[in-house]
Amino acid sequence: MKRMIVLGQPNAGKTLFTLNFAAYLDLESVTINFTNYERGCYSKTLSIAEAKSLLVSDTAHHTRDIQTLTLTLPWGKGEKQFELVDTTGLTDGINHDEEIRRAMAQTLRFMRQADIIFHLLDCARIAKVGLLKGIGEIDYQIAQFGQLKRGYLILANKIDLPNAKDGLEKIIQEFPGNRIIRISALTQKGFKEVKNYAKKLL
Amino acid sequence: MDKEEIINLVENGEVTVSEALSRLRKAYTGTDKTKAELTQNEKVMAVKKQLDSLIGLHSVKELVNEVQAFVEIQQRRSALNLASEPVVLHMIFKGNPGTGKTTVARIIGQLFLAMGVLQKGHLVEVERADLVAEYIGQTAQRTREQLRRAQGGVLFIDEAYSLARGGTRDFGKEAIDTIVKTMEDQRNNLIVILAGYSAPMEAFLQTNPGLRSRFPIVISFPDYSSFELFRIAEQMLLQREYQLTKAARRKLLRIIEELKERDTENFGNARTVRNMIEKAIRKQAVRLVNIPNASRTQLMEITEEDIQEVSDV
Repeated sequence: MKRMIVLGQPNAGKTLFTLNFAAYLDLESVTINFTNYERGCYSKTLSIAEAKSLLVSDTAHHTRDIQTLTLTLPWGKGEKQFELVDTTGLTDGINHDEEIRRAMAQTLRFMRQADIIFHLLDCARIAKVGLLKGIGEIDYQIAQFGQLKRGYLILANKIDLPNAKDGLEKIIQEFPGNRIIRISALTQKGFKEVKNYAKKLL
Repeated sequence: MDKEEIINLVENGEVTVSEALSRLRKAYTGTDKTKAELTQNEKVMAVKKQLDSLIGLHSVKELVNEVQAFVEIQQRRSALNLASEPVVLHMIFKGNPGTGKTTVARIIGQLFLAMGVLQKGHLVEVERADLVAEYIGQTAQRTREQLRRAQGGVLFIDEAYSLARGGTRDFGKEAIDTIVKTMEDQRNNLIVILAGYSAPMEAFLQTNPGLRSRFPIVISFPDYSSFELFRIAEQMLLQREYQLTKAARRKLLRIIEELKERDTENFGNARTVRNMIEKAIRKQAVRLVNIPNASRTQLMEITEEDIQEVSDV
Protein backbone atom coordinates (compact mmCIF):
# COMPACT_ATOMS: atom_id res chain seq x y z
CA MET A 1 0.00 0.00 0.00
CA LYS A 2 1.32 3.43 -0.91
CA ARG A 3 1.76 5.83 1.95
CA MET A 4 1.13 9.56 1.72
CA ILE A 5 2.28 11.75 4.53
CA VAL A 6 1.09 15.22 5.50
CA LEU A 7 3.90 17.45 6.77
CA GLY A 8 4.13 21.06 7.79
CA GLN A 9 4.57 23.52 10.61
CA PRO A 10 2.19 23.45 13.56
CA ASN A 11 -1.21 24.96 12.77
CA ALA A 12 -0.73 24.62 9.04
CA GLY A 13 -3.95 22.61 8.97
CA LYS A 14 -2.62 19.10 8.62
CA THR A 15 -5.23 17.33 10.71
CA LEU A 16 -8.16 19.23 9.27
CA PHE A 17 -6.87 18.55 5.77
CA THR A 18 -6.50 14.84 6.53
CA LEU A 19 -9.98 14.50 7.94
CA ASN A 20 -11.67 16.66 5.33
CA PHE A 21 -9.87 14.79 2.57
CA ALA A 22 -11.30 11.57 3.98
CA ALA A 23 -14.73 13.22 4.05
CA TYR A 24 -14.22 14.38 0.46
CA LEU A 25 -13.69 10.75 -0.55
CA ASP A 26 -17.21 10.05 0.73
CA LEU A 27 -16.26 8.66 4.09
CA GLU A 28 -18.68 9.19 6.93
CA SER A 29 -16.48 7.70 9.59
CA VAL A 30 -12.79 6.99 9.77
CA THR A 31 -10.72 4.40 11.55
CA ILE A 32 -7.62 6.11 12.79
CA ASN A 33 -4.50 4.25 13.85
CA PHE A 34 -2.66 6.22 16.48
CA THR A 35 1.05 5.62 16.93
CA ASN A 36 2.37 7.01 20.15
CA TYR A 37 5.94 6.69 21.38
CA GLU A 38 5.09 5.50 24.85
CA ARG A 39 1.62 4.10 24.56
CA GLY A 40 2.31 2.15 21.37
CA CYS A 41 -0.38 1.70 18.74
CA TYR A 42 -4.12 1.72 19.11
CA SER A 43 -6.99 2.43 16.77
CA LYS A 44 -10.32 4.18 17.06
CA THR A 45 -13.26 4.53 14.75
CA LEU A 46 -14.85 7.97 14.80
CA SER A 47 -17.31 9.84 12.66
CA ILE A 48 -15.72 12.70 10.75
CA ALA A 49 -17.49 15.27 12.89
CA GLU A 50 -16.36 13.59 16.09
CA ALA A 51 -12.82 13.29 14.84
CA LYS A 52 -12.73 16.95 13.90
CA SER A 53 -13.95 18.15 17.25
CA LEU A 54 -11.51 15.85 19.02
CA LEU A 55 -8.39 16.20 16.93
CA VAL A 56 -8.52 19.61 15.30
CA SER A 57 -7.53 22.59 17.40
CA ASP A 58 -6.21 26.12 17.20
CA THR A 59 -3.37 25.46 19.60
CA ALA A 60 -0.02 24.47 18.19
CA HIS A 61 1.12 20.87 18.65
CA HIS A 62 -2.32 19.56 19.29
CA THR A 63 -1.48 16.44 17.29
CA ARG A 64 1.10 14.42 19.16
CA ASP A 65 0.40 10.98 17.82
CA ILE A 66 0.93 9.87 14.28
CA GLN A 67 -2.58 9.37 12.92
CA THR A 68 -2.86 6.97 10.03
CA LEU A 69 -6.01 6.63 7.92
CA THR A 70 -6.59 4.03 5.27
CA LEU A 71 -8.48 5.55 2.34
CA THR A 72 -9.85 4.20 -0.90
CA LEU A 73 -9.72 5.85 -4.30
CA PRO A 74 -11.71 4.71 -7.33
CA TRP A 75 -9.24 3.22 -9.76
CA GLY A 76 -10.44 2.23 -13.20
CA LYS A 77 -13.24 -0.20 -12.58
CA GLY A 78 -12.00 -1.12 -9.13
CA GLU A 79 -10.43 0.82 -6.34
CA LYS A 80 -7.08 1.26 -4.73
CA GLN A 81 -6.21 1.74 -1.09
CA PHE A 82 -3.60 4.03 0.34
CA GLU A 83 -2.58 5.34 3.72
CA LEU A 84 -2.83 8.97 4.61
CA VAL A 85 -0.61 9.85 7.56
CA ASP A 86 -1.26 12.91 9.68
CA THR A 87 1.76 14.03 11.68
CA THR A 88 3.03 16.31 14.37
CA GLY A 89 3.97 19.80 13.23
CA LEU A 90 7.68 20.24 12.60
CA THR A 91 9.34 23.38 13.90
CA ASP A 92 12.68 25.07 13.73
CA GLY A 93 14.81 25.02 16.83
CA ILE A 94 14.97 22.40 19.53
CA ASN A 95 11.75 22.00 21.46
CA HIS A 96 12.13 21.86 25.23
CA ASP A 97 9.26 19.40 25.60
CA GLU A 98 10.49 15.85 25.33
CA GLU A 99 7.12 14.51 24.30
CA ILE A 100 6.99 16.88 21.33
CA ARG A 101 10.55 16.01 20.34
CA ARG A 102 9.64 12.35 20.34
CA ALA A 103 6.53 13.03 18.31
CA MET A 104 8.64 14.93 15.76
CA ALA A 105 11.17 12.11 15.62
CA GLN A 106 8.32 9.71 15.03
CA THR A 107 7.15 11.97 12.21
CA LEU A 108 10.58 11.76 10.63
CA ARG A 109 10.49 7.97 10.86
CA PHE A 110 7.16 7.86 9.04
CA MET A 111 8.47 10.35 6.53
CA ARG A 112 11.35 8.02 5.66
CA GLN A 113 8.88 5.34 4.69
CA ALA A 114 6.38 7.54 2.87
CA ASP A 115 6.00 7.45 -0.90
CA ILE A 116 4.33 10.81 -1.36
CA ILE A 117 4.72 13.96 0.71
CA PHE A 118 1.98 16.56 1.03
CA HIS A 119 3.64 19.66 2.38
CA LEU A 120 1.16 22.10 3.90
CA LEU A 121 1.94 25.80 4.04
CA ASP A 122 -0.28 28.43 5.62
CA CYS A 123 -0.80 31.18 3.01
CA ALA A 124 -2.66 33.48 5.35
CA ARG A 125 0.06 33.35 7.97
CA ILE A 126 2.80 33.95 5.43
CA ALA A 127 0.90 36.96 4.14
CA LYS A 128 0.51 38.27 7.67
CA VAL A 129 3.93 37.75 9.23
CA GLY A 130 6.00 37.88 6.05
CA LEU A 131 8.33 35.53 4.30
CA LEU A 132 11.05 35.29 6.91
CA LYS A 133 8.80 34.24 9.75
CA GLY A 134 6.16 32.49 7.73
CA ILE A 135 8.35 30.05 5.85
CA GLY A 136 10.91 28.42 8.11
CA GLU A 137 14.16 26.63 7.46
CA ILE A 138 12.18 23.50 8.13
CA ASP A 139 9.97 24.13 5.08
CA TYR A 140 12.96 24.47 2.78
CA GLN A 141 14.39 21.26 4.19
CA ILE A 142 11.11 19.41 3.70
CA ALA A 143 11.01 20.65 0.12
CA GLN A 144 14.54 19.41 -0.52
CA PHE A 145 13.83 16.08 1.10
CA GLY A 146 10.63 15.80 -0.92
CA GLN A 147 12.66 15.62 -4.12
CA LEU A 148 13.86 12.17 -3.07
CA LYS A 149 10.34 10.83 -2.96
CA ARG A 150 8.07 9.48 -5.61
CA GLY A 151 5.79 12.44 -5.21
CA TYR A 152 6.12 15.82 -3.53
CA LEU A 153 3.28 18.29 -3.53
CA ILE A 154 3.02 21.69 -1.88
CA LEU A 155 -0.47 22.46 -0.63
CA ALA A 156 -0.93 26.18 -0.14
CA ASN A 157 -3.59 26.07 2.52
CA LYS A 158 -6.09 28.53 3.97
CA ILE A 159 -6.68 30.12 0.59
CA ASP A 160 -10.21 31.00 1.75
CA LEU A 161 -8.87 33.62 4.16
CA PRO A 162 -8.44 37.26 3.11
CA ASN A 163 -4.92 38.24 1.93
CA ALA A 164 -4.04 34.61 1.34
CA LYS A 165 -3.23 35.48 -2.29
CA ASP A 166 -0.15 37.45 -1.18
CA GLY A 167 1.09 34.45 0.74
CA LEU A 168 0.51 32.21 -2.24
CA GLU A 169 2.61 34.46 -4.45
CA LYS A 170 5.46 34.27 -1.97
CA ILE A 171 5.22 30.50 -1.88
CA ILE A 172 5.36 30.31 -5.67
CA GLN A 173 8.39 32.58 -5.57
CA GLU A 174 10.19 30.56 -2.90
CA PHE A 175 9.58 27.05 -4.21
CA PRO A 176 10.05 27.25 -7.96
CA GLY A 177 9.86 24.03 -9.92
CA ASN A 178 7.50 22.36 -7.48
CA ARG A 179 3.91 21.48 -8.02
CA ILE A 180 1.80 23.82 -5.88
CA ILE A 181 -1.93 23.35 -5.38
CA ARG A 182 -3.99 26.01 -3.63
CA ILE A 183 -6.42 24.47 -1.21
CA SER A 184 -8.62 25.23 1.67
CA ALA A 185 -8.68 22.42 4.18
CA LEU A 186 -11.79 24.01 5.64
CA THR A 187 -13.93 24.42 2.51
CA GLN A 188 -12.43 21.51 0.57
CA LYS A 189 -11.38 23.83 -2.24
CA GLY A 190 -8.74 22.30 -4.50
CA PHE A 191 -9.28 18.77 -3.20
CA LYS A 192 -10.17 17.52 -6.65
CA GLU A 193 -6.73 18.41 -7.92
CA VAL A 194 -5.09 16.78 -4.92
CA LYS A 195 -7.10 13.65 -5.56
CA ASN A 196 -6.11 13.59 -9.23
CA TYR A 197 -2.48 14.09 -8.35
CA ALA A 198 -2.63 11.26 -5.84
CA LYS A 199 -4.35 9.00 -8.36
CA LYS A 200 -1.64 9.68 -10.90
CA LEU A 201 1.08 8.56 -8.50
CA LEU A 202 -0.59 5.58 -6.87
CA MET B 1 25.80 8.09 10.11
CA ASP B 2 22.89 5.73 10.31
CA LYS B 3 19.50 7.24 9.45
CA GLU B 4 17.84 5.97 12.61
CA GLU B 5 20.62 7.54 14.67
CA ILE B 6 19.95 10.91 13.05
CA ILE B 7 16.31 10.68 14.09
CA ASN B 8 17.33 9.67 17.61
CA LEU B 9 19.33 12.90 17.83
CA VAL B 10 16.11 14.85 17.33
CA GLU B 11 14.45 12.83 20.04
CA ASN B 12 17.24 13.59 22.48
CA GLY B 13 17.08 17.26 21.57
CA GLU B 14 20.61 17.33 20.19
CA VAL B 15 19.83 18.71 16.75
CA THR B 16 16.95 20.64 15.21
CA VAL B 17 14.51 18.92 12.92
CA SER B 18 15.83 20.98 10.00
CA GLU B 19 19.36 19.86 10.67
CA ALA B 20 18.20 16.26 10.92
CA LEU B 21 16.34 16.55 7.63
CA SER B 22 19.37 17.93 5.90
CA ARG B 23 21.53 15.12 7.29
CA LEU B 24 18.96 12.52 6.32
CA ARG B 25 18.90 13.87 2.81
CA LYS B 26 22.66 13.64 2.63
CA ALA B 27 22.54 10.10 3.98
CA TYR B 28 20.12 9.18 1.22
CA THR B 29 21.75 10.97 -1.67
CA GLY B 30 25.18 9.87 -0.50
CA THR B 31 24.20 6.29 -1.15
CA ASP B 32 22.09 7.02 -4.20
CA LYS B 33 24.75 9.01 -5.94
CA THR B 34 27.41 6.31 -5.63
CA LYS B 35 26.30 4.36 -8.63
CA ALA B 36 26.27 7.02 -11.26
CA GLU B 37 28.61 9.73 -10.14
CA LEU B 38 31.41 8.30 -8.04
CA THR B 39 34.84 7.78 -9.48
CA GLN B 40 36.37 4.35 -9.60
CA ASN B 41 38.42 5.08 -6.52
CA GLU B 42 35.41 6.13 -4.47
CA LYS B 43 33.51 3.05 -5.54
CA VAL B 44 36.39 0.82 -4.50
CA MET B 45 36.60 2.58 -1.16
CA ALA B 46 32.88 2.07 -0.61
CA VAL B 47 33.17 -1.67 -1.23
CA LYS B 48 36.25 -1.91 0.97
CA LYS B 49 34.38 -0.19 3.74
CA GLN B 50 31.74 -2.86 3.43
CA LEU B 51 34.46 -5.50 3.77
CA ASP B 52 35.96 -3.75 6.79
CA SER B 53 32.60 -3.64 8.48
CA LEU B 54 32.56 -7.44 8.67
CA ILE B 55 33.44 -8.61 12.14
CA GLY B 56 36.66 -10.58 12.61
CA LEU B 57 38.19 -12.15 9.47
CA HIS B 58 41.41 -10.14 9.80
CA SER B 59 43.55 -12.43 7.69
CA VAL B 60 40.89 -12.54 5.00
CA LYS B 61 40.59 -8.77 4.85
CA GLU B 62 44.34 -8.42 4.61
CA LEU B 63 44.55 -10.86 1.73
CA VAL B 64 41.70 -9.25 -0.17
CA ASN B 65 43.42 -5.90 0.29
CA GLU B 66 46.64 -7.35 -1.09
CA VAL B 67 44.88 -8.74 -4.13
CA GLN B 68 43.06 -5.48 -4.70
CA ALA B 69 46.28 -3.47 -4.47
CA PHE B 70 48.03 -5.88 -6.81
CA VAL B 71 45.30 -5.61 -9.43
CA GLU B 72 45.24 -1.85 -9.20
CA ILE B 73 48.98 -1.54 -9.61
CA GLN B 74 48.93 -3.86 -12.60
CA GLN B 75 46.22 -1.66 -14.12
CA ARG B 76 48.26 1.48 -13.51
CA ARG B 77 51.41 -0.14 -14.89
CA SER B 78 49.72 -1.22 -18.06
CA ALA B 79 48.29 2.29 -18.43
CA LEU B 80 51.89 3.52 -18.53
CA ASN B 81 52.92 0.78 -20.94
CA LEU B 82 54.99 -1.08 -18.38
CA ALA B 83 55.12 -4.85 -18.45
CA SER B 84 52.28 -6.09 -16.28
CA GLU B 85 51.74 -9.49 -14.73
CA PRO B 86 48.74 -11.37 -16.00
CA VAL B 87 46.07 -11.09 -13.36
CA VAL B 88 44.52 -14.42 -12.45
CA LEU B 89 41.86 -13.95 -9.83
CA HIS B 90 40.42 -17.41 -9.45
CA MET B 91 40.36 -18.33 -5.79
CA ILE B 92 40.01 -21.09 -3.28
CA PHE B 93 38.09 -20.46 -0.05
CA LYS B 94 38.75 -22.89 2.76
CA GLY B 95 36.84 -22.87 6.01
CA ASN B 96 34.03 -24.29 8.10
CA PRO B 97 30.42 -23.47 7.34
CA GLY B 98 29.24 -20.09 8.53
CA THR B 99 32.64 -18.45 8.47
CA GLY B 100 31.70 -15.83 5.90
CA LYS B 101 32.81 -17.41 2.63
CA THR B 102 29.73 -16.50 0.63
CA THR B 103 29.58 -13.03 2.10
CA VAL B 104 33.20 -12.34 1.18
CA ALA B 105 32.65 -13.83 -2.30
CA ARG B 106 29.79 -11.41 -2.85
CA ILE B 107 31.93 -8.47 -1.75
CA ILE B 108 34.76 -9.62 -4.03
CA GLY B 109 32.34 -9.54 -6.95
CA GLN B 110 31.42 -5.95 -6.06
CA LEU B 111 35.05 -5.02 -5.53
CA PHE B 112 36.19 -6.15 -8.97
CA LEU B 113 33.11 -4.64 -10.52
CA ALA B 114 34.13 -1.30 -8.98
CA MET B 115 37.66 -1.78 -10.29
CA GLY B 116 36.40 -2.50 -13.78
CA VAL B 117 37.74 -6.06 -13.87
CA LEU B 118 34.27 -7.60 -13.99
CA GLN B 119 31.36 -6.26 -15.98
CA LYS B 120 28.52 -7.25 -13.68
CA GLY B 121 30.02 -8.41 -10.40
CA HIS B 122 27.10 -10.66 -9.49
CA LEU B 123 27.49 -13.92 -7.61
CA VAL B 124 26.27 -17.25 -8.96
CA GLU B 125 26.25 -19.90 -6.26
CA VAL B 126 26.32 -23.48 -7.49
CA GLU B 127 26.95 -26.91 -6.08
CA ARG B 128 27.56 -30.30 -7.60
CA ALA B 129 23.95 -30.91 -8.60
CA ASP B 130 23.92 -27.70 -10.66
CA LEU B 131 26.92 -28.78 -12.69
CA VAL B 132 26.84 -32.55 -13.02
CA ALA B 133 24.13 -34.32 -15.03
CA GLU B 134 23.04 -37.94 -14.97
CA TYR B 135 23.92 -39.03 -18.47
CA ILE B 136 27.05 -38.87 -20.49
CA GLY B 137 27.53 -35.73 -22.53
CA GLN B 138 25.09 -33.63 -20.55
CA THR B 139 27.46 -32.50 -17.85
CA ALA B 140 29.52 -30.25 -20.09
CA GLN B 141 26.34 -28.66 -21.33
CA ARG B 142 24.96 -28.05 -17.88
CA THR B 143 28.24 -26.69 -16.59
CA ARG B 144 28.57 -24.38 -19.56
CA GLU B 145 25.08 -23.07 -18.86
CA GLN B 146 26.13 -22.11 -15.30
CA LEU B 147 29.34 -20.55 -16.60
CA ARG B 148 27.31 -18.50 -19.02
CA ARG B 149 25.10 -17.28 -16.17
CA ALA B 150 28.16 -16.30 -14.16
CA GLN B 151 29.70 -14.44 -17.11
CA GLY B 152 30.87 -11.02 -15.94
CA GLY B 153 30.64 -12.02 -12.29
CA VAL B 154 31.70 -14.63 -9.78
CA LEU B 155 31.00 -18.37 -10.02
CA PHE B 156 31.00 -19.69 -6.48
CA ILE B 157 31.21 -23.49 -6.32
CA ASP B 158 30.33 -24.69 -2.85
CA GLU B 159 31.81 -27.98 -1.64
CA ALA B 160 33.87 -28.11 -4.80
CA TYR B 161 35.56 -31.39 -3.80
CA SER B 162 32.28 -33.20 -4.32
CA LEU B 163 33.07 -32.89 -8.02
CA ALA B 164 35.85 -35.42 -7.53
CA ARG B 165 33.88 -37.66 -5.29
CA GLY B 166 32.85 -40.54 -7.52
CA GLY B 167 36.26 -41.66 -8.76
CA THR B 168 37.51 -41.52 -12.33
CA ARG B 169 34.28 -42.57 -14.03
CA ASP B 170 32.20 -39.90 -12.36
CA PHE B 171 31.03 -37.00 -14.51
CA GLY B 172 32.32 -34.54 -11.91
CA LYS B 173 35.66 -34.69 -13.70
CA GLU B 174 33.97 -33.52 -16.88
CA ALA B 175 32.55 -30.52 -15.01
CA ILE B 176 35.99 -29.60 -13.69
CA ASP B 177 37.49 -29.86 -17.18
CA THR B 178 34.78 -27.65 -18.66
CA ILE B 179 35.26 -25.03 -15.96
CA VAL B 180 39.03 -24.98 -16.35
CA LYS B 181 38.71 -24.71 -20.11
CA THR B 182 36.30 -21.77 -19.89
CA MET B 183 38.47 -20.08 -17.27
CA GLU B 184 41.40 -20.09 -19.67
CA ASP B 185 39.29 -18.87 -22.58
CA GLN B 186 37.72 -15.91 -20.85
CA ARG B 187 40.25 -15.03 -18.28
CA ASN B 188 39.15 -11.45 -17.96
CA ASN B 189 35.49 -11.53 -17.30
CA LEU B 190 34.88 -14.33 -14.84
CA ILE B 191 36.15 -15.20 -11.39
CA VAL B 192 35.74 -18.79 -10.25
CA ILE B 193 35.83 -19.49 -6.52
CA LEU B 194 36.08 -23.04 -5.20
CA ALA B 195 34.84 -23.23 -1.64
CA GLY B 196 34.58 -25.87 1.05
CA TYR B 197 35.88 -27.34 4.29
CA SER B 198 39.63 -27.12 4.75
CA ALA B 199 40.62 -30.79 4.92
CA PRO B 200 38.66 -32.24 1.97
CA MET B 201 39.64 -29.16 -0.06
CA GLU B 202 43.30 -29.88 0.55
CA ALA B 203 42.83 -33.52 -0.51
CA PHE B 204 40.94 -32.40 -3.61
CA LEU B 205 43.75 -30.10 -4.67
CA GLN B 206 46.32 -32.81 -4.11
CA THR B 207 44.51 -35.22 -6.40
CA ASN B 208 44.16 -32.55 -9.08
CA PRO B 209 47.58 -30.92 -9.18
CA GLY B 210 46.70 -28.81 -12.21
CA LEU B 211 44.15 -26.89 -10.20
CA ARG B 212 46.51 -25.30 -7.75
CA SER B 213 48.27 -23.20 -10.36
CA ARG B 214 44.97 -22.17 -11.91
CA PHE B 215 43.60 -21.00 -8.58
CA PRO B 216 46.55 -19.02 -7.28
CA ILE B 217 44.74 -17.20 -4.48
CA VAL B 218 43.97 -19.35 -1.46
CA ILE B 219 42.09 -17.77 1.42
CA SER B 220 41.54 -19.59 4.71
CA PHE B 221 38.53 -18.58 6.77
CA PRO B 222 39.24 -19.17 10.46
CA ASP B 223 36.46 -20.03 12.89
CA TYR B 224 35.06 -17.05 14.74
CA SER B 225 35.92 -16.62 18.39
CA SER B 226 32.93 -16.65 20.71
CA PHE B 227 33.19 -12.94 21.28
CA GLU B 228 33.26 -12.29 17.55
CA LEU B 229 30.14 -14.42 17.20
CA PHE B 230 28.51 -12.40 19.93
CA ARG B 231 29.35 -9.19 18.12
CA ILE B 232 27.94 -10.65 14.90
CA ALA B 233 24.72 -11.42 16.74
CA GLU B 234 24.56 -7.88 18.05
CA GLN B 235 25.18 -6.45 14.61
CA MET B 236 22.45 -8.61 13.10
CA LEU B 237 20.01 -7.37 15.74
CA LEU B 238 21.02 -3.78 15.27
CA GLN B 239 20.45 -4.01 11.54
CA ARG B 240 16.94 -5.23 12.23
CA GLU B 241 16.40 -2.48 14.80
CA TYR B 242 16.30 -4.70 17.85
CA GLN B 243 18.39 -4.40 20.98
CA LEU B 244 19.43 -6.72 23.78
CA THR B 245 18.87 -6.05 27.45
CA LYS B 246 21.86 -6.45 29.73
CA ALA B 247 20.73 -9.82 31.02
CA ALA B 248 20.05 -10.98 27.49
CA ARG B 249 23.57 -10.00 26.42
CA ARG B 250 25.07 -12.08 29.21
CA LYS B 251 22.89 -15.05 28.39
CA LEU B 252 23.64 -14.89 24.68
CA LEU B 253 27.38 -14.75 25.25
CA ARG B 254 27.18 -17.64 27.68
CA ILE B 255 25.21 -19.83 25.29
CA ILE B 256 27.59 -19.10 22.42
CA GLU B 257 30.56 -20.01 24.58
CA GLU B 258 28.93 -23.23 25.71
CA LEU B 259 27.96 -24.29 22.22
CA LYS B 260 31.40 -23.60 20.88
CA GLU B 261 33.06 -25.55 23.64
CA ARG B 262 30.75 -28.52 23.40
CA ASP B 263 30.88 -29.26 19.72
CA THR B 264 33.69 -27.61 17.82
CA GLU B 265 33.34 -29.99 14.87
CA ASN B 266 29.76 -29.32 13.91
CA PHE B 267 29.35 -25.83 15.25
CA GLY B 268 27.76 -23.72 12.54
CA ASN B 269 29.54 -20.48 13.44
CA ALA B 270 27.69 -17.41 12.20
CA ARG B 271 24.91 -19.58 10.79
CA THR B 272 24.08 -20.97 14.22
CA VAL B 273 24.13 -17.48 15.65
CA ARG B 274 21.77 -16.28 12.95
CA ASN B 275 19.37 -19.10 13.75
CA MET B 276 19.51 -18.15 17.41
CA ILE B 277 18.76 -14.54 16.61
CA GLU B 278 15.86 -15.42 14.37
CA LYS B 279 14.50 -17.70 17.05
CA ALA B 280 14.81 -14.91 19.62
CA ILE B 281 12.95 -12.50 17.36
CA ARG B 282 10.13 -15.01 17.01
CA LYS B 283 10.07 -15.59 20.77
CA GLN B 284 9.83 -11.87 21.37
CA ALA B 285 6.96 -11.66 18.90
CA VAL B 286 5.07 -14.38 20.76
CA ARG B 287 5.71 -12.64 24.05
CA LEU B 288 4.40 -9.29 22.79
CA VAL B 289 1.57 -10.37 20.52
CA ASN B 290 -0.99 -10.23 23.31
CA ILE B 291 0.09 -6.82 24.54
CA PRO B 292 -1.83 -4.57 22.15
CA ASN B 293 -0.17 -1.32 23.16
CA ALA B 294 3.43 -2.36 23.55
CA SER B 295 5.71 0.66 23.49
CA ARG B 296 8.47 1.34 21.02
CA THR B 297 11.09 0.27 23.55
CA GLN B 298 9.27 -2.97 24.22
CA LEU B 299 9.03 -3.70 20.52
CA MET B 300 12.77 -3.24 20.16
CA GLU B 301 13.93 -5.10 23.21
CA ILE B 302 15.02 -8.74 23.24
CA THR B 303 15.02 -9.92 26.84
CA GLU B 304 16.71 -12.81 28.57
CA GLU B 305 13.74 -15.14 28.23
CA ASP B 306 13.65 -14.68 24.43
CA ILE B 307 17.13 -16.07 24.01
CA GLN B 308 17.29 -19.81 23.74
CA GLU B 309 19.61 -22.44 22.42
CA VAL B 310 18.63 -23.70 19.02
CA SER B 311 18.30 -27.45 19.18
CA ASP B 312 19.56 -28.32 15.71
CA VAL B 313 23.12 -27.13 15.97
